[in-house]
Amino acid sequence: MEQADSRDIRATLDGNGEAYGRLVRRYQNAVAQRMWRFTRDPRQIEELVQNVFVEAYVSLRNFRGAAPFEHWLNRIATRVGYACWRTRKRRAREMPLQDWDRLDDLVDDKAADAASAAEAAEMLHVLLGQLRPRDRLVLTLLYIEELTVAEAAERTGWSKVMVQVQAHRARKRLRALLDKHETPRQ
Amino acid sequence: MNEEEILRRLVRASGGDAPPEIDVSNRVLADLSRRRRPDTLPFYFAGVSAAAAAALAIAAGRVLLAPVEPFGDLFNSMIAVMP
Repeated sequence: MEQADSRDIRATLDGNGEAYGRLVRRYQNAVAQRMWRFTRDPRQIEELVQNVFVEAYVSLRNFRGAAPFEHWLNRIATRVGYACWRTRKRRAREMPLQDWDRLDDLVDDKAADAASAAEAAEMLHVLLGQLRPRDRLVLTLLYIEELTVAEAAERTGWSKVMVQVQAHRARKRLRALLDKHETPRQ
Repeated sequence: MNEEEILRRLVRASGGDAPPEIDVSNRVLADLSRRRRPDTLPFYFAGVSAAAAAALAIAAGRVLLAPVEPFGDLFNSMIAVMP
């Protein structure tokens, strides 16, 4: 663990609010980057990042320092993001038909600028948003965050077998979704 | 193209997409101080309840432990009605 983190965590536990402010400023953009996979709403992302740091503060006494502080924050961020999906699952929107056509271009690497990067991210978000939160979570961790099965298990608290089973089911459901809309095949 | 390949290509195409810069430090600290204040409320009620219970116990103790003269009043009233 970095010296600065260690010092600020100790000071926070001693009641120094400013030390916690420093920790928040140090990691808020990294956490925001992670939460961007859970929401694409710029207003909601601030709320989610805030929730992550409030929850981290409440649990700070449980932080043992065996792993870097950022890893510990990532676990909390995953939990907060997953909870957000679970509460919003009924509001998942369908991908418009024209987006399914656009998906062809994006997966064929026909567009490669910043605007299409945002568009691809948005499409990925909407596509996975049509899956159940558990399916979406496991695919996000394995394919977007590119974690190993062991890392995904550590992040979610599931066993490695559970991650593999869940990933298999999620891929099957995604396949069914793609087949339904006749996405590109080669 | 299978679903894994589609996912991987979409992830690759979305590389470089980033959220807006944010600063939530003040909001976090404000939220924490707001949460800390109500935490004192249960202690306040617990203190008030304990004080009330102690006062009640003292009052009950005085009543129960006070020296009682058995039938003292009854004897006086019996004398009073006798001719």
